[in-house]
Amino acid sequence: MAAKKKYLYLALTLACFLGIILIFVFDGYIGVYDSIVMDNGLYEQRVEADQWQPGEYNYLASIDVDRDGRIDFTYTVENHRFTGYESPVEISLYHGQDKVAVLLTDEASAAAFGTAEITWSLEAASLLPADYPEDEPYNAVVVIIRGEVNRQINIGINSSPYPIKTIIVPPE
Amino acid sequence: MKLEYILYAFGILLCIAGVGYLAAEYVSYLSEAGKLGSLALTVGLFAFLGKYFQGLGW
Repeated sequence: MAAKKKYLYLALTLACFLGIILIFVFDGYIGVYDSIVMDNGLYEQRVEADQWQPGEYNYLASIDVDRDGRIDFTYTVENHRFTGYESPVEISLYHGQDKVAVLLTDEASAAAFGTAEITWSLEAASLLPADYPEDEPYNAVVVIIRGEVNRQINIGINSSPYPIKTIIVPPE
Repeated sequence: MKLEYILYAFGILLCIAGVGYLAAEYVSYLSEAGKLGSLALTVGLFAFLGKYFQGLGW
């Protein structure tokens, strides 16, 4: 009887230990997570939920595109909760500190343990100011505001590899 | 002999400090409910471990 009780306490100790591990796993899963896939026609760039913040590796979500290229964005909000999720999303374009345009306003709504997806596209040529030099790269930032969450993506528009040069022919 | 015990104590302290540091790092990511649940289970874990050792005659 005493030996049985002794092993009962040992089993309860192990059960508590397993319970702590399960709390960590469950707590890590529960929540609202967002990720993005950016496709510039050449390759896909994926930013997972834990890669948004520039942390110790100073990582910033970014993608490059050619001047005549296009980027397709797919922003996914995963709701790992027992209740539904709904939040307004505003996607805007910045150059430096200046807000250039609001690209999209939408509602991200997902049922319990469901996902919400927002897609949009950006033509590189439409981002460039008029008469911007062809041999200079251009940088813009796409800012996604979802409730209190603020995500930033650096867009690099490459300089044209073969800029058209105007040669003035001297008069004869 | 005495030196051995000092080294044992030093090693145990380092282990506790290491585990404590790692626990604090991981716990900082937990929600409030998760922290409370973990605390309750940790108390239970040490209580049952104490009863187990008591049964062994410690």
